[in-house]
Amino acid sequence: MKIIKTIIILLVFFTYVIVFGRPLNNEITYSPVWVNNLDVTENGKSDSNTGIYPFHLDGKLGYITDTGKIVYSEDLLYGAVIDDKGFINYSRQNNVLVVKGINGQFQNIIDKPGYPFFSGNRRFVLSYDNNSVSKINLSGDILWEKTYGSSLSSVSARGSLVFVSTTDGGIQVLDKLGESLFYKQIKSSRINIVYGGSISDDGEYMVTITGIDPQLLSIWKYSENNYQIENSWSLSSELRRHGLTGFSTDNRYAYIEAEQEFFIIDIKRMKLNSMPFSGRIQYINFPGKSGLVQILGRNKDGYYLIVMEKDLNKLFYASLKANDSSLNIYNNKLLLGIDHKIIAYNMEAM
Amino acid sequence: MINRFLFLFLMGLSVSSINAFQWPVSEISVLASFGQNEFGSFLKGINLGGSSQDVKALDSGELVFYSQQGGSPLDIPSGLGTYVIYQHDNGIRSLYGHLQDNSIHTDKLIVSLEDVIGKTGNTGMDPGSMLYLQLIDTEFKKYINPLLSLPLLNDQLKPRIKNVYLLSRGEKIILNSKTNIKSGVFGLFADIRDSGDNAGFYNSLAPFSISLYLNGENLANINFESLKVVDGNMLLQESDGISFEELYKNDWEFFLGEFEFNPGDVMIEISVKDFSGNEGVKLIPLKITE
Repeated sequence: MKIIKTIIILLVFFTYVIVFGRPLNNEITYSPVWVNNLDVTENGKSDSNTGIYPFHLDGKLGYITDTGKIVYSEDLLYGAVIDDKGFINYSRQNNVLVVKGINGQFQNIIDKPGYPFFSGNRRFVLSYDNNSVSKINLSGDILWEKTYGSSLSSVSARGSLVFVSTTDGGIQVLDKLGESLFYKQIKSSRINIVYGGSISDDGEYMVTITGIDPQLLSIWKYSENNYQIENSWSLSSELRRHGLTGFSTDNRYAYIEAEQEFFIIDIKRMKLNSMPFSGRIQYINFPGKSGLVQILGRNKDGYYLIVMEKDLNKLFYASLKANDSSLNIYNNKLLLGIDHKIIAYNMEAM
Repeated sequence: MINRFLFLFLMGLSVSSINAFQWPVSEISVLASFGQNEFGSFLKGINLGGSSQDVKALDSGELVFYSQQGGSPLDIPSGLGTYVIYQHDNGIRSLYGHLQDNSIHTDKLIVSLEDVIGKTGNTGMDPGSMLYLQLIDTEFKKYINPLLSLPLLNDQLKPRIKNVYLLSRGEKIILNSKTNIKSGVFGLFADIRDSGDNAGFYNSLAPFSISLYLNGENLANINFESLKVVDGNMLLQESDGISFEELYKNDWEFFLGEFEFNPGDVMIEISVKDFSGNEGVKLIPLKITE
């Protein structure tokens, strides 16, 4: 009798494991590698772009090597944009913008008043009154300019495409020459407006937040030379500012920052996951194939770091005692900025 | 005086579809006017100066968009700094820029005429304390001169017409009553500046309208009423769709057209009006020779 009972228990156990068991995701460990105090300048020129990462923290910007040595650093003027090829440190008013390289060397001048904006390895200048966007090449030439009849609410570039939305309810997809591939005036709500949107690397999907009453979160799919709404979810209509949106590096997931909420949509399954979210996203990363999302957020209490799975299962949360903070990932290395310190962590899958 | 009354009456008729709004600030000083040259493009609203003061919405309305300077580094940068947009009746929206950080009330979605929506500040690209006010007609997709819908300002200063000159093949001929020129095709330019009592004589503004007459024939009218994007270009709508590049030679020099001057006497008359109906007129008799 006891043996039969044991066999039944074992059978139930193995049946459960076979039927309901699922493989464990890779576990990521973060091992601190080095800390650099930005007060200590160890400037040195670099002839190579490999292993050199941009930083923008605590009123300074520049480049740091993957071993934690500062290649170049300068004080922030009014605002700055920086990527792995160069940076623009700009004043409040500029008739021209000066582009510098990773060693701080002059690269070129952009002869366009406005504020620069880097997105998806592409460079833009937005007019001061927020109603036009100009695409700039690496030589500083203006390739094209688009002017709109109301303020821009979002501009984002992925792959060869540029997504632009306006506060009067317009969304547009432009190709690399600035030609319009798609334009739509959203008219599905009591008030027509677009709060944000972006396009996937391959151009197959778009994600948008639009309108008031209803306020809709939509996934658009490209088919037959057009984008059509594949699925929409109704929000609470409380968002009245830019809502950050984007896609994971593999384009499988879209993310959306709404008012007091954060969403991730599994596009393959059209499944929406949500979680309460306080404040604004400062940085967001989808490191490699880890299946994780890393968010640096900021609310009235300060900065905080969240690491979670794509179904929004929180794995880690920490509030940061910092006046300024940054988060970036380069080559499996996470660089966390806290005030005047940059801490590098190796991310290893186990 | 009759002309001024007629001007104001006709102007009122042309904008009768827009409600009469209230001024958003109590100390009113127009520092920059609609359509003015700002960093190489039309200014699509007006700048109001003065000390730090409360800002009220032009009319009751609903908050539809706000942007706070320093909200997120992932937001697009904005020269408007911290700004808010309210929706009013008939598809009209008003935008208030350069507001003080943390002075806007993002949790109050519906506002009345009495509600303070923020404080004038210096966020964005303007270093001085001011308010940028923009009016947008979302139905017809155009920017409207806010002065068209605001109570009239007391202003007695006339617009000034300074240099008037002709340009042909790079040659610039400044015109006065004794100028004799040879016949030909010329571009006609004029340096025109308005001033407002409230902002002072030396603070130049764009006028509200410019009219050109040659021998009594009305050949050009430029009105700073509204701006609209047509085929990707921002155009002055009531002025045969003039673009910024076509209109502005530099900050205050306006291109009034290209004309053929044949031998004989020619009378050039340039009439410029400001928003309060003050008119500046310049008459230039020319002798055109073979």
